[in-house]
Amino acid sequence: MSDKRYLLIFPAIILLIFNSIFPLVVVLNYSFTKPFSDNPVFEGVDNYVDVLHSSEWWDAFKRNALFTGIALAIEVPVGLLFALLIRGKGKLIDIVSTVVIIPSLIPFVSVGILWRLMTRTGGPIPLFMGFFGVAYTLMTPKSAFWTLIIMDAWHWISLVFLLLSASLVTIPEVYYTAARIDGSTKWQTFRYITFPGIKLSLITVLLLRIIDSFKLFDENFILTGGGPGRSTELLSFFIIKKGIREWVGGFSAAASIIYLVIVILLCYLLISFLTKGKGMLER
Amino acid sequence: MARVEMKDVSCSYDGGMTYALRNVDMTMEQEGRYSLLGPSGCGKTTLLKIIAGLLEYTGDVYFDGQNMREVPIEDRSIAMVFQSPVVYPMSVYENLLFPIRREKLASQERERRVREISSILELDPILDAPAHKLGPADRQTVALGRALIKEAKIILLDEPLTSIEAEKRLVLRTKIKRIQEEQHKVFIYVTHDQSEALTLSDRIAVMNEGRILQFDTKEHIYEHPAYLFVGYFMGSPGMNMLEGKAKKGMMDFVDFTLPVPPDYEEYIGRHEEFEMGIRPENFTVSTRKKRDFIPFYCMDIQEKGEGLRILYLTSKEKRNELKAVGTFPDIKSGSEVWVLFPAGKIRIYDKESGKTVL
Amino acid sequence: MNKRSSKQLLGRTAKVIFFLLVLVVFLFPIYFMTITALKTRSEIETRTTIYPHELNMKNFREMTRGPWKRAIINSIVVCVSSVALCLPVSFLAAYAFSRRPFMGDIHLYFWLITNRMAPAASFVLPFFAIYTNIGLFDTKLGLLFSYTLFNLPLAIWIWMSFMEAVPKEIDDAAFLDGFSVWRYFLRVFLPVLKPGLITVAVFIWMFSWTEMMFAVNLTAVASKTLPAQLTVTVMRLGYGVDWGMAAAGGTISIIPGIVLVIFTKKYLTRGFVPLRRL
Repeated sequence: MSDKRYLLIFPAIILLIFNSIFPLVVVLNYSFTKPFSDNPVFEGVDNYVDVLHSSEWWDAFKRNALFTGIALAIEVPVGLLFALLIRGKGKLIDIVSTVVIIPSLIPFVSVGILWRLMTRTGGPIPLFMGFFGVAYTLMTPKSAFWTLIIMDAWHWISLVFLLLSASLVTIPEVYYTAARIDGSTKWQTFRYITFPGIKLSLITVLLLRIIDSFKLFDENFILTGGGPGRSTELLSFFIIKKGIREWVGGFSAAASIIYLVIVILLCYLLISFLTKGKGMLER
Repeated sequence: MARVEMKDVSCSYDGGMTYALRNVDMTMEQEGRYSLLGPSGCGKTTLLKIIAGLLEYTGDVYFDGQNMREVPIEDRSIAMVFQSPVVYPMSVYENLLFPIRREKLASQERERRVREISSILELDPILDAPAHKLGPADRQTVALGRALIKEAKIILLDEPLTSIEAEKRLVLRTKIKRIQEEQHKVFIYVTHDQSEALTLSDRIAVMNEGRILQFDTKEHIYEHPAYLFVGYFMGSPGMNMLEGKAKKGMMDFVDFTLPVPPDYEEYIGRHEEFEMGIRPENFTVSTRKKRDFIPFYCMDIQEKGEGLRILYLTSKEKRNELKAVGTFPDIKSGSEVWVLFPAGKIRIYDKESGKTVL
Repeated sequence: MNKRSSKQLLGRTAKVIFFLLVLVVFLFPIYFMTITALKTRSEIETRTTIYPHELNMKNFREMTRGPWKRAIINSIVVCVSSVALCLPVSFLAAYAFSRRPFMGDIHLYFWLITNRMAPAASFVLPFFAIYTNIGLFDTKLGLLFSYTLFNLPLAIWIWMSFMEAVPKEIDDAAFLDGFSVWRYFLRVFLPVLKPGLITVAVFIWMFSWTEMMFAVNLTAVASKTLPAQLTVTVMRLGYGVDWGMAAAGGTISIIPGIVLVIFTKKYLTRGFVPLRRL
């Protein structure tokens, strides 16, 4: 039997060695050289030093952190509110909950297109804002950044909603009944019944959204293309731009590695939280 | 003082297609121990939830003469223990404190009440433990304590022992019993287990298919079941049921006949068909032929415990089967026996409705 | 009408208004994209209308030929083959993780999951370099492989949560009855795990269908998927973007998601629950 279990994971491991380890070795190699040149030479940690001295990198990093902070501050409370309000039985609730989930299944590119259509000059959002006397255009750094956040919220509130809804239904109804009989206030009911029931999911979704926000690329690319100027350039966009467009492979590779380390650290945080005191696989 | 009164209470979960509860009239006069007993789906939990104010219903519910329709749960002076043990994620002490934290009491008085309840329920050793990490039996005890601390007039218990592991069930049952003796309140206990109902209540409402079939003291229900169903459901084994016909002033059961008991002469004079019920413990069984005894064949014998045995009897032509309970020291399986049906213990029921004819 | 029920009525009304608002916010952008696809180019360029004044089917007709048709077919091929590849591979691996503890499994599992979390951007450059060298650039096979980087960990993750809900006694009983491993999978384990199978398939499909970073950077012409084709259309500089066409492509790209959410909503919810238990 002992040989068989390795046999079982063998296909998965082979595919992932080819698609994960191998590219990683390549990108590591790049990060220490000047690739795509006639004479790639070992440059040591020069590329890393360049990245860490690059104000463009740090701008993108700070921007991404700010983006993540604001987007989460909107998505998690609103998603939680949706999950709390849109539950129970009924046709209307069925329809609303289905509709709220739809955005998370739309290709990211299409979300970008959708929001470009909405925000085009003379489009619905500028018209709507104009109605309130606000002159809106996507083409200022500030509005581009905020539009990106609103779009991200529109796209991902659904995930928060889905995850928290799934966890809300696991709280037995009888707890709410007991709380009513004990004369519990709305806040106490939330504090002592709802919150403990969804705590794990809440933190999971928080960390997942942090990781995903740090990886955001597609909508960023489509909606604003990093612009105007570099005002909406996030980390993924920055790395792609450097590697593919500006063809500074060594620099891009080093940035990739630093980026990867940041995300893996976040990921480690998530996993160690989820498995805290439980043993990795709950044996 | 607490008087719970229900007038023509009905409840439907599907807007009138089917009824979980129909036309219930019931009065619980004063403090005491009551049970709602019946098989699953009989409407007992529905009735309890209506008393608690958790369900919509038609008809009226009165507490001490006050119509409760518009009274919200928190103002009903009720407490409830559920089938699955509900505790809040805090210490046992805080759990017990939770229902009275908003009452205007001196903190010493609050403390005193928590201590009192915790000592009755023997929760003292785990008072500081996180309640949500305890086992089901301890959690249910905490939930019971939370129900008692409020000084509610009515305590509702919805099958509180069902989800408790068997070996702890008896301990908790004893605790509930002790509480009932010390605290003078209305206890309404829902269960499908007749032995729980018999230990934990004085008056029992036997329910089936959304109706209360009989509501009376447990002794009276046992002796005089109002319906065949009640007779069969209460008791283990339940009441024997035989289909009979009136024939020449006798009760005819195809392969034997019995004289009509005096109380039923009038009814049997007017009806040709009826059902007869008789409790298994009411027979006299003999190994020898005697006057008025009916011959039966003993197919099997099972031990019931406490020296009692259950005889599985079949009549001569195997048309009727009976169970008899007693010590029966000299009866052997596979032998012929003679059985006496005491006239005073025979109950006659209407064939159509299964209802007592008296 | 007393105070309590009028308060209730107010609460209900507020809730319905909130629901309608949610519907508008989430549906209007989708609606607007769909009707944009049905407008003529001049209508799109000159004014904003909330329904097409002149119905124009040209954009959708365009979806059935040329590069759009190829992109849609490519997308479907890549998605189907992703499901076909990742479903069994992830099933076997998840079974090993959940039922057969082995040396180093925890570290291996952690590594697997980080792959799901790793930023695709870090992998684009090496993939590009490797694929151009070994001839996988601009091939559907190349895309299929690169997607396994994210599909496999996610699929294993979801599989495991479903498997953990199946009592291990079922395994033992079946093996005692003399089932071979393969027969056990087919006859006992998989039938029990049908909801898991559906969930995993849906997630692999959706991820492959929506993926854009690799689709754009690892293809040129022949293997462009729908998201890549959309990107090219929107990013075309100089000519001005044909928004009607982009909207039509975008509308098509939404369809599988909507169909899946309607038919498999309860599974989708389940698919996210594993995150709780890992």
